[in-house]
Amino acid sequence: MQVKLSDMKLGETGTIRSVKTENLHDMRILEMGFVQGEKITVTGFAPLGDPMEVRILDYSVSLRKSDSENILIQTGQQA
Amino acid sequence: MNITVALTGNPNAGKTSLFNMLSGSRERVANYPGITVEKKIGHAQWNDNSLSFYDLPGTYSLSAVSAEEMVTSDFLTGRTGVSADVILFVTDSLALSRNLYLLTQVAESGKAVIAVLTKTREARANGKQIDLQKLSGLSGISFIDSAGRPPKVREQIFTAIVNAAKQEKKQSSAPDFYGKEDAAAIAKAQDTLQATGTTMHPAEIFMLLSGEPQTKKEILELWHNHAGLLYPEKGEEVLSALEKIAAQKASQNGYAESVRRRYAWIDSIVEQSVTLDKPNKKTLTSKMDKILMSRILGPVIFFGVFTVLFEAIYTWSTPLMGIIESGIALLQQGASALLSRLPMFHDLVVDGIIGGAGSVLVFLPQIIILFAFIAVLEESGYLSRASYLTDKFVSWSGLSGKSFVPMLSGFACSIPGIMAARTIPNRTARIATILTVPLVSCASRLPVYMLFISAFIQPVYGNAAAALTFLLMNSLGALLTLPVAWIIGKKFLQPSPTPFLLEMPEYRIPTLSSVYDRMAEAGWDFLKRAGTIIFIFSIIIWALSYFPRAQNATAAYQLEQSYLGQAGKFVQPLFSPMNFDWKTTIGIVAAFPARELLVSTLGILYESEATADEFSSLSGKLAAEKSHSPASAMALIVFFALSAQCMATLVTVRQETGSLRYAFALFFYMTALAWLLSWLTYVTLSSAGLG
Repeated sequence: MQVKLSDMKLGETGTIRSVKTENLHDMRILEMGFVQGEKITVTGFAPLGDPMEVRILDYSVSLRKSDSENILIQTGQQA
Repeated sequence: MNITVALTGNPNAGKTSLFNMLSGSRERVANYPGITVEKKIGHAQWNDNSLSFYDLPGTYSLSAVSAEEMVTSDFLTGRTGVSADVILFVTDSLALSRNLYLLTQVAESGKAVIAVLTKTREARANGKQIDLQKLSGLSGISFIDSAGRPPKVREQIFTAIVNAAKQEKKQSSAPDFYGKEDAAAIAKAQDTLQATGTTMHPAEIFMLLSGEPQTKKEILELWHNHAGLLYPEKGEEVLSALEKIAAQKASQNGYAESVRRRYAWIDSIVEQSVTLDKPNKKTLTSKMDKILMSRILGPVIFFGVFTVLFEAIYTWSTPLMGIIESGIALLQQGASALLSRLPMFHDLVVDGIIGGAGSVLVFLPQIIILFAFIAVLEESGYLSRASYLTDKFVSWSGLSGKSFVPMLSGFACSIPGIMAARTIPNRTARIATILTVPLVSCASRLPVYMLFISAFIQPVYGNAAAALTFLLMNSLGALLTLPVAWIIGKKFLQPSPTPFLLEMPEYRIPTLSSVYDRMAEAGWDFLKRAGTIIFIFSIIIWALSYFPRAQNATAAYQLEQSYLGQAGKFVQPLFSPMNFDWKTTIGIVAAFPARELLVSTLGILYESEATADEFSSLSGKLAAEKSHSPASAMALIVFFALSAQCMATLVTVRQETGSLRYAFALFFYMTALAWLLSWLTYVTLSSAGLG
């Protein structure tokens, strides 16, 4: 199943399918490891539900909904 | 042999502690034009070689997204004139893969590269074993572990640097991540650039070649300023070369594909050289985050931590400030006795120089205490968590959770608050924070509030009204910070493409030496400022109140007819809508260097007794003479709550932003806002019959 990263639940794991690459801001997110094929796990949400914390490669990073909406994740068995 | 070594790596990789370990003596080099990154250079002797270490700002990629990040690519490509012989790449073993990404780019620069692994002890504690030999063999770059006794590690690193510097230039060890066609296009673009006398890193060129139209546009915008700064003579030429490259047709493989290939290469190396003892072992950090970041306990701990921080800068600094104040008073007494025969010189030294610079020096304890806290919070990893917890509350304004500490510090004093904005990587957010922190009601506003509340509010309307006014004035500025930041960011600043991606580093215990370094650095920066610009301003302001001399006049008359007094009378019409008399407007002008000077100026003008009881005698006098109506008194308090009456703040803004423009902008917008709200207060209260 393919979902937006922003729609994933706490503890869910998936594989990155695609990331927006329109501008410098997007490119930096990509370069920080949000590339197609990498595994990603949701590890937390801030008190108001945004930003979210994820584990990618071997580090933890938090990102805002405005960015996590642009990252598509493959979840479930096919991953 | 002289060897130039560039230290580079990701943010939080432990670059600064390695720099401190390697360099015996250090120096700080002036700011780069237009930005506030300071270059630090360390020196060391090894056998017959003198090594110079350049500490470059941490970055995630050599394709810069901000002027600050450009510094690192400038230096590694040799655009700044100084060229590194060896690059020392600092690699955080806790986030190995992401660190190796930058290394794949650094390796392409064609320079000798040595990698140093940091935090290997913590990695082992997390069950992560890194095989140095395999890592070195597979990547083609030699890795050195930084754990171990410092002299031994130093020896190992120095020897590797000297050997690498002596070797013949070798071909880049990194594989080709671009593909044949694109690599050729990059090489061709490099020729075009070199013809104009500049050069770019292959990754920079490829982003410009292959990016989407918006990406290309943003890179060109970044270079628009930068080319002029790097090449004052031929900036236009360089820019047109860049535009030519950007205009080329899209490449075979996009930039995203090159990023994917780099990570695929990294994954294969990491897989072979890193073993995890227990792959699903809970690390100490994840256990701590279970508590520190939990939905209920998290915010409670957060408030606890920042209450202590606020108490520290607000209350603990008081005795230290008292010591400085009495030291200054002693100095004034001493100078006064020495110079009693030279009246003008006496007043210049005692009131102008010692008094002026002294009134700024008292902020030193707050700055040092705040930076000790920031160092501990940042190094331990908690500051990132605090930003994460607060982000949503401020993100609508264009700021991020990183603005929280500067804003909070602003309640004690704007100067440490503005300096604390150094921790914000996004330039737009940083400038917007610097320009709004001074709105927050700082400690120096309190004497003004108290004088007018005790003269006009408390006697007539009672204690409850006085307390309410006090509370209202203390929060007014803070309530305005986010809306003002929103307007500044939206209307006046270029949006910065640096995303608000916030790394959550593993928790660690801060080292004493790094906390000390942060305190010393902030303290020195401030002292230098107090000793130069603020010192000169103090003398000018003093002279304006001292000249022209009136014969046999009272202190009140001397001030009234001085240049400062004349200026106060001159601006009086501007304040007549709020019914401020000339004494008040002289006070406003005289309070330009520091707002609490309003109290002492009014003290002189109303000839109140200069006794220990000066304060209550002055407020009594103001009340007796009915100098202000309640509406006018409230209007004056509001004006002082919001105006930029602080020379040291303006100087700090100039220093921290690297531009005089922002200091002027701050002064004018705050003064205009203060006037407007002051007038609204007056009009509202007068129509309610308090005029």
